[in-house]
Amino acid sequence: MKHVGRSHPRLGDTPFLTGKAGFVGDIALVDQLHMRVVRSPIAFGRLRGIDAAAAFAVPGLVAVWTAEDVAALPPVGFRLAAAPTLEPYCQPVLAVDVVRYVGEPVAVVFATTATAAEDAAELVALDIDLLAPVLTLTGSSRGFEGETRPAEAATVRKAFGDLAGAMARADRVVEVSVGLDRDGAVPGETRGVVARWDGGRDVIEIWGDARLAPANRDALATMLGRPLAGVEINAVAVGGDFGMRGELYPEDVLVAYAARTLERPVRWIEDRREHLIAADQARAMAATAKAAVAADGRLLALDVEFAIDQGAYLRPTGTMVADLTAAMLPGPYRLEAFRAVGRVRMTNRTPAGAYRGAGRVEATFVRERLMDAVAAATGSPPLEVRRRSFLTPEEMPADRHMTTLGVPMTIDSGRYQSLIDQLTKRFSLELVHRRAIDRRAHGELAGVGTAVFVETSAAGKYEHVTLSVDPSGNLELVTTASELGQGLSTLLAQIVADIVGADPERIRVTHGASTRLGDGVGTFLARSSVMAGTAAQYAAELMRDKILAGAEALLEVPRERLTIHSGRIREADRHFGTALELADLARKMLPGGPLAGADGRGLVTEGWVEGEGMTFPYGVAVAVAEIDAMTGLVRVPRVFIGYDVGNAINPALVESQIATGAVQGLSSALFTSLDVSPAGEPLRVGLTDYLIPSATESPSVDVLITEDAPSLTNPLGMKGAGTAGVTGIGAAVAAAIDEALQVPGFTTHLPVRPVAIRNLLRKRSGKSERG
Amino acid sequence: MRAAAFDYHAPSSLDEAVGLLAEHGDDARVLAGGQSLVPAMNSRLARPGHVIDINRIAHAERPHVSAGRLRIPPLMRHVDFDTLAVDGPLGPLMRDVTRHISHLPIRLRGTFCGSVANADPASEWCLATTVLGAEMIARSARRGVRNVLAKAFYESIMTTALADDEMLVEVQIPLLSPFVRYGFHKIARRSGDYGLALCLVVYERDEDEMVKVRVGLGGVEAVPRRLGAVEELLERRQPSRRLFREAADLAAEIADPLVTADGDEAYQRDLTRAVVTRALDRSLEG
Amino acid sequence: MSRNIRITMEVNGEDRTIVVEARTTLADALREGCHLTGTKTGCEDGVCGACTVLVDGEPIRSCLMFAVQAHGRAVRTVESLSDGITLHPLQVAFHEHHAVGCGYCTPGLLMLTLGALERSPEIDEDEIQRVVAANSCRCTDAHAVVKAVRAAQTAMRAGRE
Ligand SMILES: Cc1cc2nc3c(=O)[nH]c(=O)nc-3n(C[C@H](O)[C@H](O)[C@H](O)COP(=O)(O)OP(=O)(O)OC[C@H]3O[C@@H](n4cnc5c(N)ncnc54)[C@H](O)[C@@H]3O)c2cc1C
Ligand code: FES
Ligand code: FES
Repeated sequence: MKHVGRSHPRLGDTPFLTGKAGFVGDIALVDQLHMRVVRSPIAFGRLRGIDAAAAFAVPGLVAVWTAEDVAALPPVGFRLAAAPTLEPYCQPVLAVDVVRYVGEPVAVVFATTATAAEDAAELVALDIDLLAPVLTLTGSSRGFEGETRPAEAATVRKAFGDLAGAMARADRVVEVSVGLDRDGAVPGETRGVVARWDGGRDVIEIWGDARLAPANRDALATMLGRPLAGVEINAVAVGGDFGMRGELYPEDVLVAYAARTLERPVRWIEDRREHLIAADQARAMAATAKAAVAADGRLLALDVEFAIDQGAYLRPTGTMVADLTAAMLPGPYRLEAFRAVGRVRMTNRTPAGAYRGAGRVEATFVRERLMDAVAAATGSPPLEVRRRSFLTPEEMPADRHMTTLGVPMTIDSGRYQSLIDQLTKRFSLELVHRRAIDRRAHGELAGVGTAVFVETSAAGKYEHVTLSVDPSGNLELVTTASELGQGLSTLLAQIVADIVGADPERIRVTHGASTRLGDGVGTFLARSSVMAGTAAQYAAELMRDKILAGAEALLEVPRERLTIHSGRIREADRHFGTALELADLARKMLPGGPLAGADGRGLVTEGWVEGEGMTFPYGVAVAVAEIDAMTGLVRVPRVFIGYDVGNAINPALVESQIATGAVQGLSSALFTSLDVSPAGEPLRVGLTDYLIPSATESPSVDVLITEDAPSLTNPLGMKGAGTAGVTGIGAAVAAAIDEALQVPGFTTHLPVRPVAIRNLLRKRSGKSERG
Repeated sequence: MRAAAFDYHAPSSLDEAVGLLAEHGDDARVLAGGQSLVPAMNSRLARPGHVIDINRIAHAERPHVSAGRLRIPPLMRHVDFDTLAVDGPLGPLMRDVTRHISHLPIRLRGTFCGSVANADPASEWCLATTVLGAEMIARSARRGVRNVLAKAFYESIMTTALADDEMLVEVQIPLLSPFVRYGFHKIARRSGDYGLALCLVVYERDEDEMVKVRVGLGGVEAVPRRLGAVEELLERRQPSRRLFREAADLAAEIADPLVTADGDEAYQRDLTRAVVTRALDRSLEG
Repeated sequence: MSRNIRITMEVNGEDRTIVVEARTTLADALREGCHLTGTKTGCEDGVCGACTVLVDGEPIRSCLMFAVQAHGRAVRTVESLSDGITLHPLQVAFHEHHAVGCGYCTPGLLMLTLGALERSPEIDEDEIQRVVAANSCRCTDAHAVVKAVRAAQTAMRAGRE
């Protein structure tokens, strides 16, 4: 039976269903200490003193550390896009002299119980002189009192073509000013890390999110002055990552350092309030975008200036989000000229990092809002405006004449109009549109909005897996890529199953295995299924060869006549007769044995891929919005998403990823934002204020997956789908709201505030009463 | 998120409970369903030195009716109203209202009296007690029992007329006449959230007219309140959409809204108009 | 009256006696005192529902109950659902309907929906959706969860007959 392409239920669900899965907070080590972080309650201020005397009265307290105690530790550095000019923006593991956001770690307390640590931490008194915080993008140009580092950490510029010429030739230039508020991943599980120093081996063992284990191990080893082999990162089950988790945080460094220094296991589990003020946030940006439009309605050029609210420090992702935002702005459209200028602005807010769809969500919102404005300005239907300017399949691969994250951008494949047509047909979207028109005719506020987006995935350098068969005929695939609930293990098992001829249930995928594999990069930018999948494919092909070679020798049947099915090797045209069990073969092929194969390793193979460029999947998001005129509250009952994955290894998993991504996107569009007061105090400090949509608010999401444009960058044609759901929703919801209100360009910012809608409607009814 | 240390008491009678309250005064808190108190303690916004858990007091769950009043004891939970059987429309009204309070796990623990004592401006029960003219029975070890009318009970946000040593031992709600019609509406961001605005309307039908009209607004102001001017406008009038709009406009005008992170004053007035309109409309359904 | 208290509760059918601080929540007592880490916490505010367990058959937030309050009561956690060999119909249905994402909220959702189905075996789809809405999940399609609970309801009904 072929497994690739089947909606196999996820492998490995059982531990999660039975409560056996080990998350970091489930680890308890003998003699462990609990770390609690004392965080700045002030958005910007000079740290005059820290008085921990009272904390020492708490029974069970072991140590209190401030910046002085960790002076040996350098600030947290960069994983991507490092540059010497960015170094002043790196975060010290504990604040030195200045605090720059509410939530910044200022001191840490270690105690024998979590409760004692919490009791002690609240007795650590901070003496801080207030400074005037910079909290918004417009405010930051004023600069910060007494800071020597410039308020703008970096400027990202990308361009191609003759912009001035295109603008001059344009029939009209359409401009929008749009922006997104801060949001965050806010996964089910908060952050946490556990570390132990194994003195016998002189290794610091760490348990936590291992999405970026190789990079983090290297960074930690360097910061702690240890050989790479002196730090091990062990994967645990992870309660949602979405790009927020996994990057190195000050707390991770503190826990590792404390485990070594205090010579006791140390555990840190964040609470929800800390999470909402101190874990990476994302999205906040503002942009002014101009489109040069030809007389026939085609796009000639885009010119975009945007600023990203980076918060108080740069995170290990450096300027990645700004870079990707700039690079993804052209999206699916043909352009003669393009220019993007992205400013990375510092504020006294929680540092911003990556969140699912980083850069693509921002770029899509700006571009698609602009496309809707072009439609309004030219009086053309929004889909028509887009159709005119899509790159066509004949133009692929299309060189974008730019690089992003150091990789040249060539759009590998895409059939954009075809995807729109298929989605329209599949879900009878004509009818959905007509129904909205009909409802508006009856005085209701209902609308439909569409956004088209291009994604990117597989921006990794290399990936490495090993595959082996044990003497019982079970397979193990070892990868550094991480299972984060996205179903990676299942996808990899399906790929291997087809090639090797084994049942997926017999294939164990060991993920996040930086201790077993020296290399690999990890999981980000929807790259895992593509990179690790390709490596797994290579390893499986080699394994098949080895199995057939061994079987040929044992059965004395030429390999061309052999097949492997459910772990049984037999002659292809014989359904009866002797078959060779994979287990038997594995025992005969043990390393060192007579049949161990040319390399003498037995049934062990490796798969290795090197970055073969980026692939650019694409999609369409359609949202239906209904507005309650009296309250301005918006409901999105239905969402439709079309997405081309190149090759859907497991369609149900892809659909479920897309559906959940869509709900997260909807969350940022309507419900969730991480606002602060005028003094910079976070207003969303619990799940009572941070409104994650529940089953009732979640739209029904209809997904159409196509395989029309397989990627040319990998043999299976895979394209990755981890962020597909989230990318287009904001722009689609904005368009749907505009249509419901019949005010083009109304929605310039997300989340949409009911107050703003009411202000509009109030003005409107005032006018109509007078008129 | 671990509560500050406290001493735990589990009295087995009301006498014992009020005795403990008298002893520890403002350093003590009654623990009923814990659905408001424990979150506050976990985040250390509340840090009582003594917690008096009343959940082990016997016979404090079942309501009963006497002298034309529904008498609600301290351990009657939100879900218990799902099956409340009393004569007349009060039963269905309470069943409708309780369904809006949060979600099943909260409703299984949270108590009616706990909501009343907690005095959240957006609490369903605080609004219902205000509109229905409930009487709160407060008891202290030293001064015994006193009755406080709902109107006087809710003093400001999360503040009631209960003294530190007093426990709410019962809430009494007059039964409703069979001619009563009611309408309840709640506007919330998500299902099960505390409402942004709530309205409960109760009146009797006399031929075609509405009489003894009561209109209460919750969530918008610091405490739930009956809107006298709106009630007067509706009194002895025939219900009509048009009249209801007029009443809702008046409500929006006379409301004295709190300003929140998510809504300015004008918006709060809009919510008031919407919630009053819908509660009134509801009163004509079914 | 004291700050450290010895309590006995029946946990998954077995009597457990542990010493807790009065301020220890049932969630922490289960995780730390009974080493049953299947029960999770995600907010300790009563909102997320990751900590949902059954106390005397009722699905409640174990982060909002102090462990001392469970003295003498019967507590069921996710660990009780399966004997390690066969899965409960709800567990099977969650698996088959792709209703598990990262799995962090899964124990809470299972206990919530189990409690709801045990209280009212015949609740309809709308009511199931209202029940599911009590817990938050950041990475599964809530509608898949509702479908799974519907399927489990049918299987449980067949099991009873
Ligand atoms: C996620 C969530 C959502 C919620 N949504 C809503 C909602 O939509 N609408 C709503 O109304 N409520 C809501 N609540 C609150 C819930 O209804 C609470 O149960 C209720 O407000 C308090 O009742 P309790 O029995 O839990 O009281 P507790 O939390 O035990 O106590 C609350 C306060 O009242 C005091 N108290 C309790 N009983 C007495 C008494 N008999 N005498 C004197 N003082 C007493 C306590 O000392 C404490 O100060 C929600 C709660 C949560 C966790
Ligand atoms: S941890 Fe109990 S509800 Fe979130
Ligand atoms: S599956 Fe991840 S939070 Fe629900």
